[in-house]
Amino acid sequence: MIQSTACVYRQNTAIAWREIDGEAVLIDPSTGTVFVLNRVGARIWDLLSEPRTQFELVGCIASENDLGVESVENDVAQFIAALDARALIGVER
Amino acid sequence: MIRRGQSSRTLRVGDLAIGLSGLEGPLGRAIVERYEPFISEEHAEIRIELCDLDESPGETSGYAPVSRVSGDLLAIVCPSWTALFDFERGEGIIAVAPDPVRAVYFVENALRQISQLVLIERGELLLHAAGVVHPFGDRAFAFPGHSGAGKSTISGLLEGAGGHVLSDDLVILDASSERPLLRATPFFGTLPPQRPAPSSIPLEAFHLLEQAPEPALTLIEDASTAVASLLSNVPFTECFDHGHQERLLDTLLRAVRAVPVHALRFRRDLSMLPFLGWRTPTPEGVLS
Repeated sequence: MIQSTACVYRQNTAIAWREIDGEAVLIDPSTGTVFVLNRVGARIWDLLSEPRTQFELVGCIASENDLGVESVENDVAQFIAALDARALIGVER
Repeated sequence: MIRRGQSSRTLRVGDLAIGLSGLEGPLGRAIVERYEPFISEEHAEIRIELCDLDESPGETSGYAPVSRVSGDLLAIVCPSWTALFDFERGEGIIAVAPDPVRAVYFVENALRQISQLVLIERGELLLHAAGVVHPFGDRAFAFPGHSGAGKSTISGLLEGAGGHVLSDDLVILDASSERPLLRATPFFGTLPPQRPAPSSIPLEAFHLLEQAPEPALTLIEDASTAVASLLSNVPFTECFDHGHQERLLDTLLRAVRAVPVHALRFRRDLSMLPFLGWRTPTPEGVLS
């Protein structure tokens, strides 16, 4: 479920993870399931070490990749929703 | 719960010496016989007492063990056996139901989980992999794979080609030094260890197993994919706490930085030997 852009997201601090060559490997603490995030996903994950709104994340990713906000907006929203669905991030509404 | 007695031996799991007491009776004899190459009288670092549960729980095939780590305590509970281990004190108990056939496997399941958590604390880990030493004895190969991937098959094939099998199911990876090491364990699938295992052998490569009609070896260049692939072959991660999981990631990352990780497609013959840098054995058994 995609949350409102006003929500504030942050990493679930129970997640063990390491950045590896620009990508990220995460372990779900409850199941032991492993997730590999590509470079953009790892960058968003890194940004989520601090509380961020979806608006802020979209702005950062668009700016860092010389892309328009509208071209990354949907991908970032879907990625955030996927992290949320797996409880890899916390949400403050 | 019924205490069994004081008869004890030391079981060596890599460099970890586990003192097992309560080895009286048929269960004790079965344990000593199963782990014979790894049994000694040496000083133990941690101690585990075997006990009996009062009665059999009956049909238990639908129940899987539930494991939890809380602080310094590991608790594993299922109807047929229970284990508690205090990491701070280095002491624990394993209590098993009176089952003449399966009790030894209940004990092994508990020993595997306890060993994993103790090893993780040391920067080592149990890897669900076959481990085979090259005939020259100077390097070892790890073949991670889930049940049915072919760990016992490739172990048997390579043993026939002059290799020394460290285990066909579970080996220890020690990535605390510059060159990762592979160690034998007493835990096996279908190939019991036939002779004393070398203590530690430098690891040459990981070969993730995949059975296929044609052999092929593919380097996994992406370190994060390599770590994730190995992670999926680390048992008991579901009972790790956050600290264990971080140490696990660090250990695997050090390992994949030091040695290559390949995907090995193989079939049930020796056609994969050239991919491993081994020659096909001659009738005289000479290898290079």
